Amino acid sequence: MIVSQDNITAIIPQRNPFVMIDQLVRCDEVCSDTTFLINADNVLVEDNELSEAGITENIAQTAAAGFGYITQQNKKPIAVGYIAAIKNLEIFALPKVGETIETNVAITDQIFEMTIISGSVKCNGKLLASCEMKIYIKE
Amino acid sequence: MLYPTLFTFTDLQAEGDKLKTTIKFNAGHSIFKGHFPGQPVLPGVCMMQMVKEVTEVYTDKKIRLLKARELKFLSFINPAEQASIQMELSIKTTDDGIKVDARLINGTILFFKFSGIFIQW
Repeated sequence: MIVSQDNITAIIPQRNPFVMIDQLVRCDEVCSDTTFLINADNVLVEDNELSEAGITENIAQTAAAGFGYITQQNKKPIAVGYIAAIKNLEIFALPKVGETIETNVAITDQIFEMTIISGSVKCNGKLLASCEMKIYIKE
Repeated sequence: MLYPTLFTFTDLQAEGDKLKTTIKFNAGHSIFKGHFPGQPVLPGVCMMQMVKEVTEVYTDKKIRLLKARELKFLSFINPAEQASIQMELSIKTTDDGIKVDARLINGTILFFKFSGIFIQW
């Protein structure tokens, strides 16, 4: 673990109740890995499961944590990022309250202010969701 | 559920497989405090969830998003500035599931385009 839950908001712009990652586990210039425990009081939980919106936001914030960690290492302020597009989103299952998901994001391309990432979410080794995202980072 | 705490929809009009409804936001919802502090913007993933929730009410089925080929977020929605916007949907039952194409608009401003397949749950 390289950034704990207590310090996660130092590297992402989102704040409670819209923080959808707990810890940054690993990170380099290309990849970031996070974990997230699904709590019952999460604003994106419905019917005891993290919704499709929640799992997709978790991928976006895993990307944000990767950008934020590198930015912090370079001693620059954390930028706000917005999802510009999502492609080929597939949802196989949703995590239940009490489960911890593990998310991996890899940057596949960077064009000016747009970053293209590929992300996937697993729970107990089983693939739950995957997609590609185009993220606009406002410098 | 984001309905009815984050958004409400009224004046649901159907014509064939096309549907239109007026969306209103609750700018005081806690989500806007975290996304982002002092700079409230409707999270893109909430637009996706809104399409699901309107489709659930219209079809009277519990559904889950299986696949979305492409979602485009084209303009920001500041809940205080966009008090009332339109959602337009096309809902078709196919062999793969419930195919939904949707967009969020206000006059000439296009905020969101959605194309996805839901399954009954």
